[in-house]
Amino acid sequence: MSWLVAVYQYDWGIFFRSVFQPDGLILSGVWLTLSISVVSQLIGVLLGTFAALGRMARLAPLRWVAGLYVWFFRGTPLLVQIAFVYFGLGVTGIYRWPTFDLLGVPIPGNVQAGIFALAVNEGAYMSEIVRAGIMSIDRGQMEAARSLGMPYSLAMRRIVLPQAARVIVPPLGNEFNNMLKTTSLLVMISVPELYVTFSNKNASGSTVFHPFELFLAAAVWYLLLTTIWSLIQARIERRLGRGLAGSGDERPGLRGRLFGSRLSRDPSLVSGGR
Amino acid sequence: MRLPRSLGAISLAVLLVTAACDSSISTLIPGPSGSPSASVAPSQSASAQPSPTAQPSAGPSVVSSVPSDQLTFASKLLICSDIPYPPQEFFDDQGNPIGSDIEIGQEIAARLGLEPVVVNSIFDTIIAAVNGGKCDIIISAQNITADRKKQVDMIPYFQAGQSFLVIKGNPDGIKTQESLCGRTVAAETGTTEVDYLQGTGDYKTRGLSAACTKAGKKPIDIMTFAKDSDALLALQGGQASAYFADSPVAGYYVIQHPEAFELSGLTLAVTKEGISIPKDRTALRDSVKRALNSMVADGTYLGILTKYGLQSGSIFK
Repeated sequence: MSWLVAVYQYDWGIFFRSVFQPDGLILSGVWLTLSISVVSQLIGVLLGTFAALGRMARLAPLRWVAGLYVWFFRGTPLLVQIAFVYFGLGVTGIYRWPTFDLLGVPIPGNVQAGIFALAVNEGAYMSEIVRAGIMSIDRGQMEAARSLGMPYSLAMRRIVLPQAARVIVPPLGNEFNNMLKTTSLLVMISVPELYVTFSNKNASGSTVFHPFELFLAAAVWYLLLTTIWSLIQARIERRLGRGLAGSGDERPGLRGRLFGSRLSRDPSLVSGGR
Repeated sequence: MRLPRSLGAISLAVLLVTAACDSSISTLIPGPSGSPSASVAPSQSASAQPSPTAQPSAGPSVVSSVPSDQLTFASKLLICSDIPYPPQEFFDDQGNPIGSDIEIGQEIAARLGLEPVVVNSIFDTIIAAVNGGKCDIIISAQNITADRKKQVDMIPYFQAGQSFLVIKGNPDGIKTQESLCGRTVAAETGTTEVDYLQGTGDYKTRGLSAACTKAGKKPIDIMTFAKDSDALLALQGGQASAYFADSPVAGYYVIQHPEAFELSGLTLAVTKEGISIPKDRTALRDSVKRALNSMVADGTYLGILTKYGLQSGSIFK
């Protein structure tokens, strides 16, 4: 039996225009993907920090609430959460996500719902990362700060969290890289981010029925965003690692970061072998 | 109750995996010009042969046979359809695909001596699916448009208008085209409804949103959803003022949920719908045409439409 594939008319102009001469729709898709990712990640980090502190709290009810939050949102699919938050709350009238006016800029309901779902989901994952970061700091740091008369919250903010940040940032970068791509799940609630923009271009208009070129171009745009983020993350890590062993030249360079190379310029690390 | 459905899904998955394996084999064989692929075909299809009991038994007589090199999977007719779009394609309580399109497809398969397999698809990539070998034909309430006819051959089989569904009582007063201006309208990605709203495809010069801006009014806020059922949810959730779909579908939801929805009364032009077939499968196309004609001649076609209250959509008088 033959495998039948109809002849496909490639139009590489569509690909190149989408990448090098993006129209307003693509640019607004990029902007929306980026802004939703940043806002969701920021809220997620905050939620995650509180949840991590909650899970390590002395007060049992706090531990339970934080544990329940992490358990629920890590244990259910993000797509289900998005559908529930937007459609589930909408049809019951619990919350219909009306357009919200942010300093004269109208924020559509589906964008709000998307940010809400992404942030709450992200917070659950971030809480484990933050918890790992805090636990990596020697208990003596907190004890020393407390013995100097610092209250718990000040010691946490000034002494423990800044040191934990160095441990938190690499997995946080991973999370944000993921977030940039996960926003495409908002296709379900019609948020015109990058993926939806390209899927709409495939569905209608002058570029209709060119999924190969369009989705390849969409991939290039996502790759551009995640690559830029890798560079930013490298800078942040260099800053946080200043003056510490294992910082500076021995940290993975750009090439290592992008392609996962373990080679380092430090011969002692290379020659070690396993 | 859940079991038969999952079994169906598993068997479909197995089927698709088998098909995929076949594809990798056939790519190793010299192309059609080299003819070995044709000689290999029968032995491969033999392994894919369903058990004899699966053959349509008491059905109508076979009006045309389809050469196996015209089919993705010998002895089966894979039908791409974007479910749900009731009453043309939807699931019954047991999870079986039903509806007028589905039954027309099943009847065509029977008249070609093939076993119908419905492949649930996403509408905006359904043409890519058929041209990419995921199925043999599309029956999915597809309007015949110039853009689509460039991609596939379309056999006309039905006609329908396009209607706006609103919440009971029509709170946003959707009655005329102008009343859509500045409102949010939900529709399914890749449909002619979206083309109509945004002025693309066959509606390039008469987009509804462009008409609003031309009249100095706010454009229509168009929300597109990959699944039509999600567009309806946006109306139900109060996030859209209207849901725009083919008239039979909008009408069906009113019949099913008269307490929730009503038709706005604003109905747009009747358009013909077609069965899509890849352009390089002319023999399959001709066979499907013959099967459809025989269904029309003996009244089966009208019987199916009437069963779903769609007899007015018949294009064969």
